Amino acid sequence: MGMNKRAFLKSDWFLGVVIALILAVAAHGDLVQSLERKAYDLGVNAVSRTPSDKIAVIAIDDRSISNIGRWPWPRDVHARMTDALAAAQAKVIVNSTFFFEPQIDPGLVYINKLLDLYAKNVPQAQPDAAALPPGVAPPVPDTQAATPDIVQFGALLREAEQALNTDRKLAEAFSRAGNVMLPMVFQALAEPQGNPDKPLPDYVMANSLPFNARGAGVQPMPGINPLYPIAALGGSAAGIGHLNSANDIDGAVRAEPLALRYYDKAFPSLAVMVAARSLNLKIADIKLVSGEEVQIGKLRVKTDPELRMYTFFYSDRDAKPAFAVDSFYDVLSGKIPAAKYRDKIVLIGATAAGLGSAQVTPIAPVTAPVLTLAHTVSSILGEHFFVVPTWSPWVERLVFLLVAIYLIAVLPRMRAAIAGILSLAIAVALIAAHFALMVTQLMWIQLMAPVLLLAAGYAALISKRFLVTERGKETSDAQSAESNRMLGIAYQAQGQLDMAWDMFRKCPVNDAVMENLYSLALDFERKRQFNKAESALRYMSEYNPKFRDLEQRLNRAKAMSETVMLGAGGSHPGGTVIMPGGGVEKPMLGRYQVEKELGKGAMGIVYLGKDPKIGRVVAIKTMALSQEFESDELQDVKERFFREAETAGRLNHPNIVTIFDAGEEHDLAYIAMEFLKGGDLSPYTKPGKLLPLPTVLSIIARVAEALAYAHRNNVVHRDVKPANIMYEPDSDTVKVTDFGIARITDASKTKTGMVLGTPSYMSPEQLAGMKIEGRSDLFSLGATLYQLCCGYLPFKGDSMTQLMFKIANESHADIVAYNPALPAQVVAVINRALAKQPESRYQTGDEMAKALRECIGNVAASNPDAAAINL
Amino acid sequence: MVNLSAALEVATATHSGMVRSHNEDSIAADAEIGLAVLADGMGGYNAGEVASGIAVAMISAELKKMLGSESGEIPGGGAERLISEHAIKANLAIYQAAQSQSQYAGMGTTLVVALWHDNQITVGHIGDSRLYRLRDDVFEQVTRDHSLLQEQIDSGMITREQARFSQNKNLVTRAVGIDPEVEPEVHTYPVLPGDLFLLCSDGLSDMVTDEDIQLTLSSLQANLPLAAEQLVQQANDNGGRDNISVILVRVVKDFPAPRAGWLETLKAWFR
Repeated sequence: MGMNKRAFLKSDWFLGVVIALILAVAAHGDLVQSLERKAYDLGVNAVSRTPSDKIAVIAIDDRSISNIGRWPWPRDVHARMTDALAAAQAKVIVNSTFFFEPQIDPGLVYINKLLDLYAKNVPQAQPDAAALPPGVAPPVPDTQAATPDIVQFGALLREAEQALNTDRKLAEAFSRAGNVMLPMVFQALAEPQGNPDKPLPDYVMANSLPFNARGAGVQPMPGINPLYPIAALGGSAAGIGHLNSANDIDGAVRAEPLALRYYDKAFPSLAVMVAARSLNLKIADIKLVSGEEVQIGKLRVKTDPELRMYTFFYSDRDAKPAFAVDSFYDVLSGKIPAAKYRDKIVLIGATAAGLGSAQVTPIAPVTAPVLTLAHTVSSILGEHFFVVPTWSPWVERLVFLLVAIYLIAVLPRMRAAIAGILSLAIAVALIAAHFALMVTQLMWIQLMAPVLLLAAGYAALISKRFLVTERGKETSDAQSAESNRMLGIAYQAQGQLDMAWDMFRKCPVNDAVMENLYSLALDFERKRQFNKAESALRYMSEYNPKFRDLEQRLNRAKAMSETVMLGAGGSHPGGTVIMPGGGVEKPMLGRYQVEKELGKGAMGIVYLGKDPKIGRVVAIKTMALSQEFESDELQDVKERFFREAETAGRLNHPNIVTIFDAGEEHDLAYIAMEFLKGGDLSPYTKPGKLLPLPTVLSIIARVAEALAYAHRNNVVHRDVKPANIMYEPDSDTVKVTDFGIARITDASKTKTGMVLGTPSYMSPEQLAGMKIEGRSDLFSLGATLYQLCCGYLPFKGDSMTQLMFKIANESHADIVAYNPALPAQVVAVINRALAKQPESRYQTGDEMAKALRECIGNVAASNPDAAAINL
Repeated sequence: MVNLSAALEVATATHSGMVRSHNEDSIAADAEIGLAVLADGMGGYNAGEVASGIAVAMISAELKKMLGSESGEIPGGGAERLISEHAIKANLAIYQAAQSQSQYAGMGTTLVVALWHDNQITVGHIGDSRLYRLRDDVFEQVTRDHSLLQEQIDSGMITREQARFSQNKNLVTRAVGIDPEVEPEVHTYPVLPGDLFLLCSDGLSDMVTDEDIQLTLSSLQANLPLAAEQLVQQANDNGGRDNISVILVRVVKDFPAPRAGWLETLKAWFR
């Protein structure tokens, strides 16, 4: 049962399980999480909320830098801005610049040394003014104990010290404003390993909240190694909040850690501090409810378990930025009146290129931190944050599980179309739920993992099904191809070659089919359907041109199908031409190239051939002896055939067709003979088509002489008839052909229906089966002459028997009845030639020829028009 | 046409076995026209495949053409004559192929053809490929092998027990394609819903006893594809000395031939 153990591996539900497991693992990986983030960002962009109009941003932009000077600026610039905003009664001033180091002018060091020296020598003079607490104006020095110059010197020193000690100026400005908030930064968001290096100064600790480190399992994010403003500035600020951002998995800023844990304290973020300050709340009014929310007075900011708020990022609306961003320089120079910032929360921060680290946010790939701060503050104040409920992981897991169950249990049972529609519907529903929750509830449930699972599972299942059906189709294709091949073989065996060809063509070609096609092509050749053989061979050569002797066969079939008269194949006797092998282009018969088919003879096809060695053109008569004769007498027939051919070949007479060669090739006997232009006399044997009488007489006279020559050489023609006399009118050439061939056919006793046409020209003794001699040929020649003179046969019968009876017993029809114009002398010659008794006929051909020539002379004399006849 | 695919449930399996390198069996089954053909070829070098292939291809193609058409119904003379004629035709085709192409000389095949129609089964067979029927826990062989062994049993020369261990199991007395003439044995039997038919080559029946086949069929008949696979597996477990082919056909419900109503008769008049 090993088969069944493996079967589940191929099953649909197993595929569903595998996909679900893969995605369950991948759900926390980059890919799925990035997808979730992308969906979140799209959701954020889809939601529209009005940003708080109380927030204004003053940007330290490129314009300000180019006008005021290189960054960092002297801190009195900040002081001036602070003073300006304070004068305009801004609600809260947030300067997000890091004032973590004192700014000491190189000259100030010397001024301080000079002041020290001055103070020692001028008792009334105050010591180091820089050591004075900030915000306290140095007392006016006593001028009584010093010369006016010395006093002036001291004043100048103090003035220089005043001008160069920018930190103090800024601290004084902060103090005057009383509502300036500053950032601090934790260098690492990591769990502290031990105790802090040194306790944080009080002005920093004043901005922290007590937090029970051993509280609930979920705690705010930890931070260590804080950097905080210097004492002078930090002490004069209204509050300090951390400006750490919590980068998401893809590096983007989506959530704000509202508080960071530092040992047993928690530092609220700058945004929280600003929000509280703007609501006139103190640090003590901020409550951290671990794992749930941050309360700022009555404001409740829902957070994730680590007290992170999913900041709402306000999209720009109608090409107007969500927050008004003014250039620092414009405000400082008074181009923008500071009064604009009355009661506003003013956020000052760098936006210029190269200042601060730009952040990736859901709404823009590059966002200055000060803008993020603006979004965050607005988010808190407007309660426009996204919520990730504590139960959301459970919901996400449940949805994932349901989709997995759908994939494993439901999808495989459905038809492809329904499965597609339903899966699409579920995917759309999940995505819609995701966006609906984000837009209406500002709630983020991560649903992209189930969507991805659905898509992947569906795709996998469908591809698997497709592959399986594809394979199924392939096997069924292969099966039907095989049965087509079998049918082809069957048809070929039954001789239905065309049907077989159709069947084989339906099969994809492989070596087995090639064998079948090859044998089919041979069958086509055997049936002389060379064009079909050619197309079969051509079809094969597309697959493998080197298959056996395919190339040669193809060339030969091509040559044959081009030259040989088509449609003549197969049906008539002697049709079988097996062209022997060999690499030549044209089929060979013996040593002759077969050029084309000339026509059909009594026993076989006549081809035009060429002896390539001496360039002689020949006519080749073929006889399919094996088809005509039974095998037991085949040998006998063959011997006789060659004997006759040899005998006939010895004849050498101008009026006898010359025999060059005889041979046998693949059961096909052939005789190569002189190729004659023109045709035989058959066309001139009908009334109205007759040749002029002198011509007829001249032809017959020459035939008679040829027969006389043959008879002297003991060769009897046996089948003298118009069809065996070749005549070429242009050169007035007459040749007798087919000597002796009739003898071979006569010998066939077993072949039924082998009577060659009607024995109209046969002599009585030939019909009677008696010995045949020269005078029999002369009888036949007489019958031929009779027909050529009047267009009718001398003997006619309704049936073979009647005809034979008439030839044997009755005299021929009176020719004068047909042709009254025939001279009596010619009639006499005919009558003598057609005498029943051989003894009564002309005894030799020469004798008959002589009589005919006399006739010609007389005819010419009586008819001068015909005198031009060539004798 | 009468579509029998609702009435018949078909499962097939064929396997080259554990010893033979290629599969000389051929099978075809079509629930729609209610036809199952199985042939077990013999002859050297691929020829067996060709013989069985010709037989199955010709018979299934011709019968599909005849019965699968719109008005396709069993022509006059009935199913027995139909099967007989086509078996003879296939025989001639294989014989001629064997005669005309030397590489196929001497090839032949056994054949079992079953045609379900009008609540009946007509089965024709030549040689030792078999048709079995499982009906109400009775498992019986429907065809009688044309084999020397069967003749020996019939003539009482040996008993069935002896036959199981006979050496000349594979000598068939009739086969398709060996002689120009062949006489198929064709019979028709009534069919009941619930009948389970098994066509198999001797690769199964020689390797697995009838009792084991019956056990497998009756226990697995709810799942025909599994049953077919299981039978092949059993034959292979027992040695798998020959190609194994199995066609299972279960009759789910009865399938009477439609009697032409007067309307059809009238329509036929004008056709």
